[in-house]
Amino acid sequence: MATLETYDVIVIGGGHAGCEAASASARLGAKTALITHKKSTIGEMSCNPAIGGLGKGHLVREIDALDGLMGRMADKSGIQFRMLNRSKGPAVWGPRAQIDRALYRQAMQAEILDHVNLTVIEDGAEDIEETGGIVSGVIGASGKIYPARAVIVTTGTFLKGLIHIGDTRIPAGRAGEKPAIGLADRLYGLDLPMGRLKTGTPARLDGTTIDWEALEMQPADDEPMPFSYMTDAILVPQIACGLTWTTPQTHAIIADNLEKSAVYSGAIAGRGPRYCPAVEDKVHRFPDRARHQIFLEPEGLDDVTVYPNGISTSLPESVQDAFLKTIPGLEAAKILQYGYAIEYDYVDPRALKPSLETKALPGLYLAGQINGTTGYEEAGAQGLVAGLNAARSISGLDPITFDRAEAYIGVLIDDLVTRGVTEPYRMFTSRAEYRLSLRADNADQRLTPRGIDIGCVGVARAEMFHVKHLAFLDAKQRLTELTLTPAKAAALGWNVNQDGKVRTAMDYLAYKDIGFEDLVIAWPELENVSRETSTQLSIEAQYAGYLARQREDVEALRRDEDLVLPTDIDYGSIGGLKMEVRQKLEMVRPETLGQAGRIEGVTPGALTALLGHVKRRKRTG
Amino acid sequence: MDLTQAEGVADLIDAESRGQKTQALEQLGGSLTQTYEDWRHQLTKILALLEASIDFPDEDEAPEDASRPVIKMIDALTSNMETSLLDGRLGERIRDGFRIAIIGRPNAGKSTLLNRLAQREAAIVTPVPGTTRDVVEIRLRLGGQLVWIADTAGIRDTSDEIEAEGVRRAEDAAARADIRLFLTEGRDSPLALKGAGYRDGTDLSVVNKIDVDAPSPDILADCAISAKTGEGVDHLEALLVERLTHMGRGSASPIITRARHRTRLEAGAAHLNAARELLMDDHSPELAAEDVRLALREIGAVVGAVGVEDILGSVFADFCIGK
Repeated sequence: MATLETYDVIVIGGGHAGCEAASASARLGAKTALITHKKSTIGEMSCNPAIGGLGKGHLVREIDALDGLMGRMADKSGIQFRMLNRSKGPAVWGPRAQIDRALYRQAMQAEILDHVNLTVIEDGAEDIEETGGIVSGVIGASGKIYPARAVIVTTGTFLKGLIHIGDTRIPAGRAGEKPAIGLADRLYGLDLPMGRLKTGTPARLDGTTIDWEALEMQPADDEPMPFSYMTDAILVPQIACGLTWTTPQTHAIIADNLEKSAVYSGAIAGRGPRYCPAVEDKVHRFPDRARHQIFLEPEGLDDVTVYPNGISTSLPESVQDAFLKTIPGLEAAKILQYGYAIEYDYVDPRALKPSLETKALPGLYLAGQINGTTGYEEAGAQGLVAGLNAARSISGLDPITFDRAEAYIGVLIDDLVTRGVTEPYRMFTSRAEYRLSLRADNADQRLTPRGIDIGCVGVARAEMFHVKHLAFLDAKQRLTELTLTPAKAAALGWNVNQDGKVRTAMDYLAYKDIGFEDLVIAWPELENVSRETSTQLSIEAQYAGYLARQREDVEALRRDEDLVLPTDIDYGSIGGLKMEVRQKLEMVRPETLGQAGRIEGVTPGALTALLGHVKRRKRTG
Repeated sequence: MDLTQAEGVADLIDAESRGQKTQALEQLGGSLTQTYEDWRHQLTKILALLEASIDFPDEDEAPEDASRPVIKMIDALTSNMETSLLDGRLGERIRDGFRIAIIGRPNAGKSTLLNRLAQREAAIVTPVPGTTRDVVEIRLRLGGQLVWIADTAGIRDTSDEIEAEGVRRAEDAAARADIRLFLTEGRDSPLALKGAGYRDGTDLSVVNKIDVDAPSPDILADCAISAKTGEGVDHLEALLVERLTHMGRGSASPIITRARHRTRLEAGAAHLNAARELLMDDHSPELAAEDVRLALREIGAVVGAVGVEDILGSVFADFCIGK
């Protein structure tokens, strides 16, 4: 066996977690390699080709703010950009785009194959080497040994992956790919706690056989809003998606064949996501619904494949054929690939530190679907964090974490390592306590300065950010210095309380019916403020009252996060802890008092006992 | 067992009166739990509807604009909560004790009456008007309820700084009291005192010192006593018991037994009203959701917190969401 040059960080897997991990590590200057079976599958979208949405779009903006890849790649390949929730407040706008699968792959491959500090190796990853209890390399399927100081595993659903179509079962990672047995054995050998999940996918249809004329169409936004702060404009042609609905006949066929579904025959043990039920689940659980919505999403500009979003299924092929014919527009649709359910093992993410390093084997990091999440955006965000931390560990630097008041990335990772998962974890805005401040519009303000400090943000972005941020700060300063009496405001036709209180321009901007253009009338010198800046200021003003109220909560959160808990606490020796609470604490081994408090079942009483123990330990130790 | 039931246990251990014991037992049995659980459930539903409209805007299951159904749900809930807030603080009064204040002019015999009711020398009694400076309180059981009886400084204009402060405190105690005993001497008509906010049906006018002066028949008082000899005090006690029995009988068992509950409930209702305004005003469901979340935190502080998983659970149970 040949031994090759040593890498600082090796990433196994070229999916969304793998690409972000490899790039992040390389951006920090670590000598990085990405091992994948085939270069041609790097950046593949294995499920629905769409990026973003509520919570997910926020994650993409955050990855981008830290100079990650996903946002820029999506801007180069998005074929239907839509800003969801445009009618609601900006905190819950959700940028989303339908993606051309091939364009995305091309863009990602071009980026990864030409990345500074990054080598792509085409090989299977058969095993991980360890020396003295620390990761020391990867053994390839070719027999080659690739020495490394840290390894990030981002292999998705490959652990005991099992595809179900009716009663047919095919062991697999993804349709047509073989699972890596040796690597799986290594992970099982580490005795990491594991669980089983399932997810499903619908049949893929030949778009040329769909009767589009009969369908309602959903166009892209007139002015597509890019994901990336670095993208000026979307140049990809925009398309519309089709909308259709299941019918009572569809439901009758599904109900008649329910027991043939792998989900209902008992063949599947793993838990599926509640937010993405199979169509047989929808029919069974909501029998009173007359119809269920289906989005017909083209997978690319030059691709006939259409993804019918909303009808994932594990029914036998003949039943899939039969029920599709009952759906308006799909009467003559040809199936290119049947829908299926896939079951897989995941590693309970409570086995990970907030850095995403495994507690069991120093130097081994896990990111993406293997940790029980779903979605490209969740995977990418983890990849980014694992990549940064693996690279930092090489230089002996402390791990990077983002807190819940700072980023959705922080919410995601804290939820995973603190609470674990019971279904494939997906981001929702309702998971973020500080949703009003964690907005898609201010991801750069929140994270780019940190990214610059960490060293993962390139020069071009850093410069652009500084210019934009200085303009913002300058305008904000002016808005807090310009004042007006309510009497003069009334003279301008502004409807404000005549209480004699002098208010600043920023205060006036908080009023619902006073916009920035009104401020310009009062103070003509504000005319030169850019639209980008004025929009940002209007949003800030709109939420100012709520943000002030949340500040107290955030301070309490940070106080508890500052109370670091030793990782070697003997929870058994703390009096007054219930058995159940003790077990959970032992499993998670929270790093801070705040994290301990977020573990399910940990009461204020238990926290007091824990704090008392730690204080006593400090005194005696 | 939730926090209110645990409080029930603590209250039961401390209970002195029959009223306290009954209330503590009901609370221990979950009489509060049920109401608060119901509110918490309704709040969870409200938030779930708002969150569904925010997090799943593309689904035709979840309403694009949830304002109207949410406003309806908020109205139902707040009217329920506000009714409970208008309970005359019965639960707290049973738990903490009803307050009775004896008020009157200096030397009307208030301290003597207090000692008589306490059956001990709780207050200093002298013939010098203005002896009582501070409020002296005794606790006893009357009519199955715990009561606090306060002897107060006699009310008169005074240049003595200490006595003036005593008068101020006396007025305070009178304002806080559930029942005021307006005490006068035989020759004084209690009617003169009735100007000081006498509440028919709850307050009592009492003529004292009938051992010295027989009360003139034209003076209308609820009873006539001699605090010194004890004559007529039985009758006064009977009247107090009647009043307390009447007060202790609410229309339903109270669901607020501690000031803590009231504060939380008031704050919760205020947040709900704020949420309602936001929804009436414009499309800011994310701000309304913030207020509902805060309302939920207030109710959660009484019976236990609601986590995001509860909200999501409610979303996925009620809406067939999924692409």
